[in-house]
Amino acid sequence: MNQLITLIEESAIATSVREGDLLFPLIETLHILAVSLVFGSIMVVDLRLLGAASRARPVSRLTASILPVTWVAFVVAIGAGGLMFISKAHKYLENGYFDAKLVLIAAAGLNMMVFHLLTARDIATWDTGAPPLGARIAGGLSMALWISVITCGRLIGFTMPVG
Amino acid sequence: MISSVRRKLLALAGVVLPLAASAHHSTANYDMEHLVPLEGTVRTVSWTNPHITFVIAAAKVGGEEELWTFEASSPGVLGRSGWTKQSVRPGDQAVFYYAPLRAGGHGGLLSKVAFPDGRTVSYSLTPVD
Amino acid sequence: MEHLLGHLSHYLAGTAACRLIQSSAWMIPAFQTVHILAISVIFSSAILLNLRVLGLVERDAPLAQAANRFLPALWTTVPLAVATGVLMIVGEPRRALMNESFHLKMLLLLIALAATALTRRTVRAGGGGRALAVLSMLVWAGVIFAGRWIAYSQPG
Repeated sequence: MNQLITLIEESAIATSVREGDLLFPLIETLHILAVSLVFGSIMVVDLRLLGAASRARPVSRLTASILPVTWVAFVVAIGAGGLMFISKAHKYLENGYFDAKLVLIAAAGLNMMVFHLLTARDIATWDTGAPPLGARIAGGLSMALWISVITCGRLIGFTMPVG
Repeated sequence: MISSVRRKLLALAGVVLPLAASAHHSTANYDMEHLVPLEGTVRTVSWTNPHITFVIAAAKVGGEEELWTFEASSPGVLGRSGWTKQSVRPGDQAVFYYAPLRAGGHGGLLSKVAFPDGRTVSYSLTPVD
Repeated sequence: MEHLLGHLSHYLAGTAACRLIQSSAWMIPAFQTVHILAISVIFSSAILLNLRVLGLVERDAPLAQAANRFLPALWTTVPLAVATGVLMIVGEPRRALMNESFHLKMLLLLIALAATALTRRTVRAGGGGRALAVLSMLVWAGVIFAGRWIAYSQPG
């Protein structure tokens, strides 16, 4: 596994990202734009699930039109993040905040799955009314998790191991 | 070319001394108004985005070595000021001019390296007027 | 202008607030994190609104409703982004005020805010210009680009 990671780190693309003068800032900025969109778009849905905003709009309509944006942004964020990751894979894996970030993203995904499989099953009954407890929990948890993801993401840069 | 004895001593120092401490600090944590010199030997150079890092072994009075971790800006910034990946290499002996950590400690923001043969590489830590 | 910024930078560097931020290990990271969260809301609001103008999201909702959803979120979050930005400038006056990427960012920010105000006006009038929508999104993205580039265009 270690050797595979080293191989990837030594690839041409990883080296360009690591040592070049333009690629890393470009990729990093793309990552920030994408992450901004993931968080901002999810917040629109979460606030609706919390019953705190967009109450006039049916939940199913809102999620149907907003979540595609979230997904596209998420894929771009992962792509850009992946390119940054391979430039210094070993060091990032050693970083607690990086590891925590991945776990939190998985948790956010799990939260979304639980919501879809359980709470949203009878969405027709509460689509236009007050959201049930399950929806409010999903919305609140989602916001807390994504705020934590972004916080951990920023803290990675301040805690990289050296030497 | 370092002698085998020195190589063994350096290897021992690597085991006995704590690993060079982590991290990047916010640039606000460095005192960029007052550069400080440190004489030492380069142990590692990490020529990476977003911050290049150097680990320098400096001789202490008692004969032991202490490890210093310097960070610098990105390859792009240093490259535009004339540095290359080969400008500073492991084994090089030089004087390192750095902005010290306000809180103290064996770290700093490296600005300039002056070699015994008169060669120097540097970049400006703050926007030039 | 440069001269003025130099003086301001010098003045800020001497303040107690500046010294406090510089001596803290957690303040700058905290300001940056909140700044990023605020930017996320602002940027997403701008993108989602303009995507609606372009007919790419929320098609079944009236344009005016989309504007009422996204614009207030944008305007109310700008002060938070500005506040954290000011705190970061106070902590590192020279790094910000004398940096050309920062100057570009501020210029783009003004243009982005103006474009957003213009969008609000045209949406209220019943329609939305497609060219303005695309331009707005590009300018907002440019603000974020320039912001990140501060660290790469200038040492420190």
